[in-house]
Amino acid sequence: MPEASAGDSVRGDDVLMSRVGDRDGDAFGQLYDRYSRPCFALARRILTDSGLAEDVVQEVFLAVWRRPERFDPTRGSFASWLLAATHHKAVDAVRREETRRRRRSSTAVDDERLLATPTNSPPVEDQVWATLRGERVRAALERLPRAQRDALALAYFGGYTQREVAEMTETPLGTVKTRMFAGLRRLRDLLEVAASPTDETGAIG
Amino acid sequence: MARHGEVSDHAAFETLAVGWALDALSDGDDTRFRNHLSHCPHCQSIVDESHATLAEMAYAAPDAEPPAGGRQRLLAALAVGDHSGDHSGEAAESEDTGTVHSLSERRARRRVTWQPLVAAAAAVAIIAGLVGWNITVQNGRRAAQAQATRAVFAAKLLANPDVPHVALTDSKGTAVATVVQTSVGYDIVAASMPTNDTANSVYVLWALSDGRAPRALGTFDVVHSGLDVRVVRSTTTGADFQRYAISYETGRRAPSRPHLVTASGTVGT
Repeated sequence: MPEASAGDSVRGDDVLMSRVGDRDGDAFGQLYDRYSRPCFALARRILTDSGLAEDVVQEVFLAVWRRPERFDPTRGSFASWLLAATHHKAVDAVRREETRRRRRSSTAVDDERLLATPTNSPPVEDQVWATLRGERVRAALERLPRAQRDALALAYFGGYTQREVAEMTETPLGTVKTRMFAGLRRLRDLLEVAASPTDETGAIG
Repeated sequence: MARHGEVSDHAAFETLAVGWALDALSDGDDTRFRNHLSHCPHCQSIVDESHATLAEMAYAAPDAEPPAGGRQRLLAALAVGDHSGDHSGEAAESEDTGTVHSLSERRARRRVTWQPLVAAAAAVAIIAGLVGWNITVQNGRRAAQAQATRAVFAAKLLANPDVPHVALTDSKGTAVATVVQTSVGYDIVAASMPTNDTANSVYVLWALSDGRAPRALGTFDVVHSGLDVRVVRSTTTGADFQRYAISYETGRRAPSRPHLVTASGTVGT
C-alpha cells in the first residue's frame, strides 16, 4: 500500500531499505509490493507504453537492490527518491525511443486526460489511499494558473525540456523557467508538502 | 556570477533547481547547474524539496497496475545477473546515466570486469537475499530448499582459497562464523549464530589491530537459524587488520566498543 505520507510508513521504508542493504530479499519484496504500482503508473504516463514502463520499473528496482547505499534518508523519503529515479529513467528512455512522435499527438497539454479521475481505479482496499492521493493532487493541479500547470505537466509527464516547452507553447524560455518554479512552489503549498527532510515526506535528489 | 553566462545570479540557479528536479534542463543549463549543485547546499535543498512535491504529483498519473508477472520477472532478472557472477552491468547502468534497456539487451551488454572471486562472494549474499524473499512468498517447503541453497553457495564461497576469509570461533573454540572480504565490505557466513531480535538488537563486526581501539566495520542481523549469509556494508576493508570479532549489542547501532563478544578470529589462521 503506497502510504508514504504516513510517518510510520516512511520510517518503515527506511527500515526496509536498511534491511535491503543487508541483502534481505523479503524487505526488498515488501518495497516492491508497496511502490511498484505508482512507479509503473508514472513511467507509463511518461512513456505511453506499458512494455517500456515495465522495463523502467525493473531497472529502478534492480538499482535499489544492487546499490541501496544510494538512498540517503537524511535527504528525504524513500518514496520521493524512488519516484525521482523512476521519473529520471522514464524521461531518459522517452528521449531515446521513437515514441516521441506518438506522444506529441497524445500528450500535448492534455489537461482533461491528466486531471481526469481514472475510470479503472482498482476497487481493492490497498489502492484506496493511492486513488485518494491522486485525486488530491489533481485537485491541487487544477488550482494552478493554466500556464504554470501546462509547463509542469509537459515537463514532468511529457518528459520535455524547458527549451522544448518554450518552443511548443511559443513562450520565452525564461518565462517557462519561471512558470515551472512558481508552479511547483504553489503546488507544494497547496499540498502542504514538507520542505524539511526531518518531516514526513522529504525528498532525494 | 557572470562567468556562468545567462545564469547571472543565485536566484537563477534556484530556478534551475526546479528544472533539474524535473529532468527538464537543456544541455547548457544542465551542465551549469550540475557544476553549481556540487557545492551549493541551498540549491540541493531546493532540489530535494522539489522532488518531494513531484513525488506527490506522480500520483496524479492515471492509476495503472504493473503487468502480471513483473515481480517474478524482476526476481528472474536478479537471479540471472547473480548466477553469472557479473555485476559490471549495474555500474554501467548507473542512475547517473539513466540508461534503460530491455532485460535481454542488458544481458547482452554485460561484460565481465569484476574479479570472478569477488563477484562470486557478492553473489552468495545476493542469492541468499533472494532466497529470503522466496521464503516469504512461498511455502514452508521452499524454506527448506532455501536453506539448502544457502548451504551450497556458502560452501562454494568458503571452499575457494583465493577469497580472503577469516574463521571466527566462540569462547569454547567452536567455529561459528566466517568473515569474507568483498569489494563492498564483508560477507558473514554464520554457521551457528543465534538469530537476533532485529528490532532491538544487532550484531557488530569489529576489526582489531594491536595498539588500536576496536573499530566497528558495520552491523548485521542473523535472521535464519543454522546457516545464514549476511552482508556488512563497509568502506573499510583494511588489509592490516589482524583480528576480527563479532559482538552482540542491544540497540540497532554499533557502540563505541564491543560489549558482548560472541566470536573472534585471527587473520591467517
